[in-house]
Amino acid sequence: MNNSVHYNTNQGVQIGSEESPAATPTTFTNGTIKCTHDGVLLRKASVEHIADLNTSGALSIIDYESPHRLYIEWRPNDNILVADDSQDWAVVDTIPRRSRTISECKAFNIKPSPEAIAANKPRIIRTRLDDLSTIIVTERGQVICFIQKSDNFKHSEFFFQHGNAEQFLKSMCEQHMIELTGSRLDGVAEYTVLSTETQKLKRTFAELNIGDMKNSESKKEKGWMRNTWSGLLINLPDIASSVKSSTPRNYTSRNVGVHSCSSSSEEHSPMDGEIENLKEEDEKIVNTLPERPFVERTKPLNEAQWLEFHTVDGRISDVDRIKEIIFHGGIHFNLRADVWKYLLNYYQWNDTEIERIQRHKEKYKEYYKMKAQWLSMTTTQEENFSGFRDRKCQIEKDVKRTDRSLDFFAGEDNPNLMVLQGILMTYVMYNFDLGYVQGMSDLLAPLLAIQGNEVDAFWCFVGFMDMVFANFDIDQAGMKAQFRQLRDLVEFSNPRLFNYMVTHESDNMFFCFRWLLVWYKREFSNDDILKLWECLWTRLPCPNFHLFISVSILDQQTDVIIENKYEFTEILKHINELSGHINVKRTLENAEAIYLQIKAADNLPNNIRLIIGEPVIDNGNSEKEEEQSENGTDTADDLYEVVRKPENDRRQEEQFDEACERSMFLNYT
Amino acid sequence: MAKTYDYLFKLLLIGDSGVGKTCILFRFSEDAFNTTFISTIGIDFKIRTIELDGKKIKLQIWDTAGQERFRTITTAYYRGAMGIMLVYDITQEKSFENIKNWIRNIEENASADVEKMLLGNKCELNDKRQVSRERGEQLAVEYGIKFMETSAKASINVEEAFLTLASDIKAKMEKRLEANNPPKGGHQLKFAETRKTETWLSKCNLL
Repeated sequence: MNNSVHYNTNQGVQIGSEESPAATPTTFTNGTIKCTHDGVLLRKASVEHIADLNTSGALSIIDYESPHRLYIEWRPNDNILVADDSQDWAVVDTIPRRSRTISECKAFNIKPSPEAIAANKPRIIRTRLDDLSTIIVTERGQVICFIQKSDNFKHSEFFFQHGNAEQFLKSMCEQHMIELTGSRLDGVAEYTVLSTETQKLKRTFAELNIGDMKNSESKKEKGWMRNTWSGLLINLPDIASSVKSSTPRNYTSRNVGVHSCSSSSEEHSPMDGEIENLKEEDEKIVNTLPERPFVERTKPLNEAQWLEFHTVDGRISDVDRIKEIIFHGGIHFNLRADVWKYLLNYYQWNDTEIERIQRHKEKYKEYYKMKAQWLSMTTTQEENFSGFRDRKCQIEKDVKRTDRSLDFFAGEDNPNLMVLQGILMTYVMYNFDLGYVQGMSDLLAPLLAIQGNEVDAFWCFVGFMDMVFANFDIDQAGMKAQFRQLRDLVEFSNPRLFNYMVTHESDNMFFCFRWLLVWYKREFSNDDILKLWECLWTRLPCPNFHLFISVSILDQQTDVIIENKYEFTEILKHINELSGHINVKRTLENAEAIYLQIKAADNLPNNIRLIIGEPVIDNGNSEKEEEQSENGTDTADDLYEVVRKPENDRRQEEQFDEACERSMFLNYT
Repeated sequence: MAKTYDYLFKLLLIGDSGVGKTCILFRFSEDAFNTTFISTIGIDFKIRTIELDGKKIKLQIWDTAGQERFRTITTAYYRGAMGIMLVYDITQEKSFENIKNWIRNIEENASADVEKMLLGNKCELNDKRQVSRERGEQLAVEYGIKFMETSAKASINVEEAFLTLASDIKAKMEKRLEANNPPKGGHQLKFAETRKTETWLSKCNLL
């Protein structure tokens, strides 16, 4: 039962004047709490509050009678915490400066005693709502940041430990103190603080019920009006919002007027004329690419379809068609264990039922033979074999921390952990040179969870590793090559972001390391990663399509990165924090759309052709002529490309190396 | 707006895989301990601002993957680091032995004048101890660096370790600053403008 959060719109709680700080000349009397939320940590504030950083407190909006204004107030509730009446225990936190998180958690539902309030008097953070311009919400709605009107800088930042700020902000919206002016799928949102005048106007409109009708109508499909009356309302100028003060530029997170190539499209506000102009300039750069096609995911491969593809003797017919269905829609979860064996090259599509059973038997034998090799190793052998010992030690460390939040691996002494360990150890014997590298347990865990069988999971893992082994190279050459390819793809498909990254020393793409190493495993929920992986395992529609997932996510983050003026460290942080907030469907659709868009481009340079498996244009090659007639490319351009090619490649490599160099002298700000 | 900090220190956590680097960082930045471990892939950082002698110091602490395979990537981040925490696990002899390799790594990749500190983590697991405190102390003396035994889980010495390292960096910086740049009053350091230099201390000379 949580009684520490109140969102009373009408039944304001009267609080007295006892907490007026002596230092402030203004006396705050008869405050009515409009809304309040307990368990809010102070994350950032001006210098005098440094001692209270990371301290838990209550954040409230209070309407004072004198001076008659709305204030935002945060008051710490550490030091002495006394239990609620309903509870018969108390927590005394003796640490004066920073209250501990654990005790704060225990102390949830506890309110500060009057003595504590008195002791904390000077530590209250209080500011007029009118002095703020914007509220930025980040980190899944758990962090809110107040931007002050005077200079557009942060006034303070708070972290909602319990739940999130949603109710708090909703309550403020309902009381017309703020208004949502921008939001993104990953939960980042921006609210504009309404001036007292606007608030009054809004309230009047609300009473007339016009605003609501307008809002509900405008959410429907554009150009579709249900009746003339509401249509008329849509066209009414929004008097109230035209009064509001403009949003500070550096914190604008709205996605407006996006060029045709970007996937983001949200409501357009005339307030952002300047940004619009900037974007139009960007558009000029992008115009050389054809329109990005519309792509939509379809339904997963189902049992009836799957059976249809089985011939009488058990072969799988029309593999191309199956792969296409899987690429566009995935696989029904009941079929995964079976179909994955084919996708991961464990079963052969063309084998008859009898051949498959035979193969299965052989693979079982082979597995246990390899397993016996490490199981039978004596202590002395192990002591004299550091290469083996190191690999074993690393596996033991990682198995304990792989996907433990999944039911399949959860809990102490879960037997599946031993199976996971067994497979990885056997893989060491199967491919000793590669051995075990961190990240491999991440790749194996979902395979084991779906196969539910050690041997089958092992051979599926072998197939998966065959696709990604270069990620685990001893010199990381495979990763570096992918950074380079990804950089080329971004340069070609998203010059706006590319140019920004070049000028901000971030074009080494290092921030995509985790994405590429474990094929986005850490970025998506388990359900989503299964969908993504089975799609990538089809190897459709081109080699290196896994890079397009990065291109797609970066495409969706382009506005955020540029508008927030992120530098390398901030981009890295932002990318790391996207984990768990990326929409898999949208990302896949967007990735394919970008691929199709690139593929359809005229004058596709050879470096891009190589990445996406298109034939490279060579001088005097008959293939080149075919290409030419097919694509209608300009001969002069082709020749130019050919002449420049070796130089081009070298130049690109040099540029990349230089980018890495530059970014390594990072601007550590 | 006035900057929210006076100095920005970039710190780095290195050491074998599984010694608790991420947990130490989590303890310091969030004052919490997570029992659901997850190995670090790639690199990440956390920020915490502390106050020392009236100066606000923003600590940007980088956490790296421990496995040797990733060193080609992670060593790239050594440059520009002003302080490095070398972490081993007191219950893992091997992680202690490897400290010398990590030191060599620092010598090859980091600034010559980077502040270092040795941490023996998981000191709450005394019954599983393989490395005595004395050996830790001795190794630290050998390298001329400070030493502490810590526990991210039991919250022992983590805060103290970072404050010590930060205060040593600050002292070193101010000493050098004073020597090269007689005080004129109201002077403020700006690290951001002075990156492409060989050592972080020589940055101060440019100001």
